[in-house]
Amino acid sequence: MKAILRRELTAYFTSPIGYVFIGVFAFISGFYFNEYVLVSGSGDISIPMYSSLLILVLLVPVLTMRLIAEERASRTEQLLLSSPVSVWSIALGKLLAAMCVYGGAMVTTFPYVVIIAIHGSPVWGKILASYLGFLLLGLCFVSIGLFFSSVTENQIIALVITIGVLLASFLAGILPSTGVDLLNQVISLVAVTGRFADFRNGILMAEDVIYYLSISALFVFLTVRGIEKRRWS
Amino acid sequence: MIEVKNLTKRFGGKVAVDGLSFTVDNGEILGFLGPNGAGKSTTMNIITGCLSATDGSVSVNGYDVLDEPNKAKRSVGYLPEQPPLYLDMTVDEYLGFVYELKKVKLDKKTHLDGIKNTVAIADVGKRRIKNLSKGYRQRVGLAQALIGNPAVLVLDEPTVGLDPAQIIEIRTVIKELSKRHTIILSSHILPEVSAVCDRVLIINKGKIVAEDTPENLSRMVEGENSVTAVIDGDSETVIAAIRSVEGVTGAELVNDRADGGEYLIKAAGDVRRQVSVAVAGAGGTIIEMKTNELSLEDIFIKLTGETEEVKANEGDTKA
Repeated sequence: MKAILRRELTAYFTSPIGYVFIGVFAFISGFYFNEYVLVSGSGDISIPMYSSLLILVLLVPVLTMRLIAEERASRTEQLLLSSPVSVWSIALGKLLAAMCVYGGAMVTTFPYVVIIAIHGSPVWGKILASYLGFLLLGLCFVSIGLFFSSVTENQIIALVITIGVLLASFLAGILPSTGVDLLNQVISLVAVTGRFADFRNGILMAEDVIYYLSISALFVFLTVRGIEKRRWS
Repeated sequence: MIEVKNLTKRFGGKVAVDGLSFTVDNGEILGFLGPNGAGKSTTMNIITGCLSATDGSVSVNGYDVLDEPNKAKRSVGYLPEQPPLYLDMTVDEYLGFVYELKKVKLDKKTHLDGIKNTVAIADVGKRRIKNLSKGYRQRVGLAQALIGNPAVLVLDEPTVGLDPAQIIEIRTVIKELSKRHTIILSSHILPEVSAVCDRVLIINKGKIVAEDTPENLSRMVEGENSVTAVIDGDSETVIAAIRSVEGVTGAELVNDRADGGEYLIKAAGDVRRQVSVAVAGAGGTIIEMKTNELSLEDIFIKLTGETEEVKANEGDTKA
């Protein structure tokens, strides 16, 4: 797993993808920080973070599209599968590598916290909860992207499907209540970004954490099963 | 060393490998010979653990590929048909990655340097793989298979796409490697297999058609020789003269050329001298004469008796 993690990280930063991801995220989140914190004189970092979610919906798929699709297209998958490593460690190594780049993007927002701490009155619980939510949400997004990267050899197809799915999930999160109970429940189940609201309000609920971890585990599991199934069919 | 029992692989309804059984002994080089789509790569993918078999079992170095996949995989180095290279890495980075991936315990620098010298890529260590020529890429692929010093090497068409000089180089390397490894090698070129292998397995449509030493296989088909000759003279007289030679089983005019007719002569044994005398006696002039090298297709037709089908398949691939 370590070998895969290191190789994927190197690949992110020998190609422009890693820089583009972090750069674009830093630019947009910086813009929101300026708008919602500096200009409006608010000390609430969760507002620009919440606004950045839509950018993540578009950016994370760029990060994950190549993870497995590229291995399939270039036949390097055969090297991984014939090596003494389990499919789980292949999938987790790749997931972690993408999470490291994602984490790198999060780090670019730390200066904002410092600025708020110096010039405002930070609510630490809220800030920490927001970051935790952001991290868990990223884990979810990356897992979903990893899965869709494993269903095709074509990175563009992986990209488009992942954006489509994440966008649908994002839109489900901002949908007004429908009045039908069952439908509301289904929507709240698929609305991955919807759960972020609790975190940004500084509410740490076990239910939300478990939800994010479950969705991530589900998609990693599907990725592994998908790869294994292809060997059997 | 390698034991394959009743191996079967179905892709949907299509049977790719059909009840294949064979063993490879320690230190042996086994050649897999067969046309494209015969099931060579599928079998190799199963032996190396990239694919799972529908039925049957494979054990490598005493470890079953299904029950103890990691131990079995540690004993195998695999060079797939398309070398599994990360084009954006340098050769050194790539080999370092494979070293870590395979969890090799040997001293890294000594081990990798040794391999680079064996396959002659020491001079391109710092270059990116995407900038290397096909021949170098193939050698990097081979180097990758050697990492961890596996007991078994599985090489899928190691010389495909290389120029003649590179083919000879790779063959030399393989022969050198055979001193320390058990090797399975696939090819669809007969001379290649006969040049390197101790034993040849001919497979077609997922089944073993023949299994023997290269010498014996050649001898099996030696019974029927064919000669192509360009002869100037009246075709009927010439054919009659050729047919009168003892051992000739058939003669026909295949092509009318400006300098004479082109004839295909089939015979048991070498009849070139006799044909030459007979044709001259009948007033014909031999412009050109050569024995036709037996190709894989000839052996196939001979061994499978599937003349029509093989020809039909050929037509398919050309279309």
